Amino acid sequence: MKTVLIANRGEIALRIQRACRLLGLRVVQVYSEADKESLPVKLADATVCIGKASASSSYLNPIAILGAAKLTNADAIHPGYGFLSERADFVDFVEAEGLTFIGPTPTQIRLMGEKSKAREMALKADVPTVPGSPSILSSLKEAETIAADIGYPILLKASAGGGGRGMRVVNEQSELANAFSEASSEAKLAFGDSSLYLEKYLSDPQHIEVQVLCDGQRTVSVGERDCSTQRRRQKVIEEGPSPVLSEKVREALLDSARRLCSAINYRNAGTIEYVVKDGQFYFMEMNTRIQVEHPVTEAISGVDLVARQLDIAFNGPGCLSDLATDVLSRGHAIECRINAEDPSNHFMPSPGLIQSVQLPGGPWVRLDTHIFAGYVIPPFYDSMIAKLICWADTRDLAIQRSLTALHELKIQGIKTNIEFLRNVLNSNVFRIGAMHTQYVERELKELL
Amino acid sequence: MPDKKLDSNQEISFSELKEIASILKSAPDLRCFSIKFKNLELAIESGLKEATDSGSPTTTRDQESRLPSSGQSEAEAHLTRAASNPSSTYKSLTEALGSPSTMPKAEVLEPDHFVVRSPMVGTYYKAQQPGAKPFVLVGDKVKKGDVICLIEVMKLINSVAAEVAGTIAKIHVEDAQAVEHGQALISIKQNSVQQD
Repeated sequence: MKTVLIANRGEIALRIQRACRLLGLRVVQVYSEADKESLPVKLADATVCIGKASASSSYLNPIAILGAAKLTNADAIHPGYGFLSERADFVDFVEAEGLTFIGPTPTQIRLMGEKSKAREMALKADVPTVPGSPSILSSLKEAETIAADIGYPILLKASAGGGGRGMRVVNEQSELANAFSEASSEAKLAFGDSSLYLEKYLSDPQHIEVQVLCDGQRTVSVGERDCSTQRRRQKVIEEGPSPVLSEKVREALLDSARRLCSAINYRNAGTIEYVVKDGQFYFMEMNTRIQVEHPVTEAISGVDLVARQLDIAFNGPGCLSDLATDVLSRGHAIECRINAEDPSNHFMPSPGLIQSVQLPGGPWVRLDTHIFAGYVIPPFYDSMIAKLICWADTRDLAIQRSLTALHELKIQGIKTNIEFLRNVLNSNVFRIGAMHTQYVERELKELL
Repeated sequence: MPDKKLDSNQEISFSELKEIASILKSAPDLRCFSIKFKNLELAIESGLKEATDSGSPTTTRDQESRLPSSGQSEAEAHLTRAASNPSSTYKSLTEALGSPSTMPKAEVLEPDHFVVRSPMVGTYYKAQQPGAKPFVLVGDKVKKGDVICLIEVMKLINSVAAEVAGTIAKIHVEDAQAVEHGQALISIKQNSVQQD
């Protein structure tokens, strides 16, 4: 029986535990002092406290995690998303110690995880990219020069980034210096790496991404997700398939994603993110990990992405031979991110004691969460506390099913964005599928 | 109880840690183990055996019984009330997290000082990033609106500004310390004629 150490927390730790149990693997759960009474810790076969509450002394601490793996005889480490999931030096360390990293090779993370190198690779694989800095910005001065050259507005992005952290839109040169220092310190805090790059900012685009699975030989696309419903670059609602892509563009999009993965012999689940504007798609970045919104794809494809990650890591090439290169999807799925935050007070995070929980149910309703009545949401980590995924034959029915499930879901003791999500689903823009990445922010007053 | 504790003020190297791991393999009945070094603290429960549901008194499972809602599956949590006493008064976050070091200490505040309090629960940072120059030191002059520290809550970084002009008189908290809503952060000795 193999042992998997889960180097993450919250709902994704539970999700990985479920996949491990499905495959008969033993689970070691590491945790920080703040997560001692969390559900993943209660449900694991073995647990290791790896440090104090702050992420840098626990979930971002490679020595503590590797030490925990050694002390519990773990065979493999699953990093989940965030934290160490895209840190190549961590993977080097894991592999040097003879353990399996459930993810890509360190070389692939360096290539694709570093957004600037990924852009270069995309260009080589003939995948369209947005104009921008050729690589990491060495200084503010270089940023000024390139920005002046391609024209404002521009977008500053953390090279090690993802999930919108360390990202700033800059509308004119006078804003650049401030944005540069803010973005780099945010990137330093979130990813331990302050390097930035920049690209031209496309106004009001769609955010569409392709889910891939690759075993190092075979590359499979598992459809796309539309994540255009965002607020401050944080995804709010994700769905699949995209309501805006024509069949022709969709095929080209999926094809380009497979081309990029094949070019690097990618291994693991991954996501190629694109901005789409007027039916033109541009490569934005690749996430070399499982993503928050992976259940959308699971719902429409029937493929267990996390179990596949484990299978790829342990069994390598050949384990995707049962899947078509372009996995067909069926129906429509929508994911709502439930956050501990107060939409009526500038979405201020709202950690604290959950007094009671009433869960939604019914056919094709899935709730991935680590919360329970009596759980205290710590203030140290992400504010996402649950993901609601609803599937139906059509998009309209998926919206309706999501609204019903959100109506059933009650979380007492803290503020949540449940009502806000209902308002977004009910909004005209969402109903007709005309979302772009700025519309939530722009229509915020009506959505609150 | 096989709960061994080695205390040391020295750092442990990864190879030393691996040596400990190999020694532990020859003691398969060990269920709980913790080590503490200058650079690393680890506490392991039932991690050195294959998981069993035999339920010996020292397994993690049984230790969980002291938790208020232990053993509840997500589904069973359906409409259940928190804690053993539903009428219990508000439990502060840091209390609930069981981390006494983060509790607000008795505040000794000078009457002529303006106290800047934390606008939210979170983590206090004295500088823009680790190792950078702190926003303020005791003795610094500040204007109203100057950023004097950061509070991070759930990865959201909030600037805290001086609400009055004056001189930094006292910093009540340590860098990277968890703070409560309303906890005193920084005292400012106000400029004499100014009113807040």
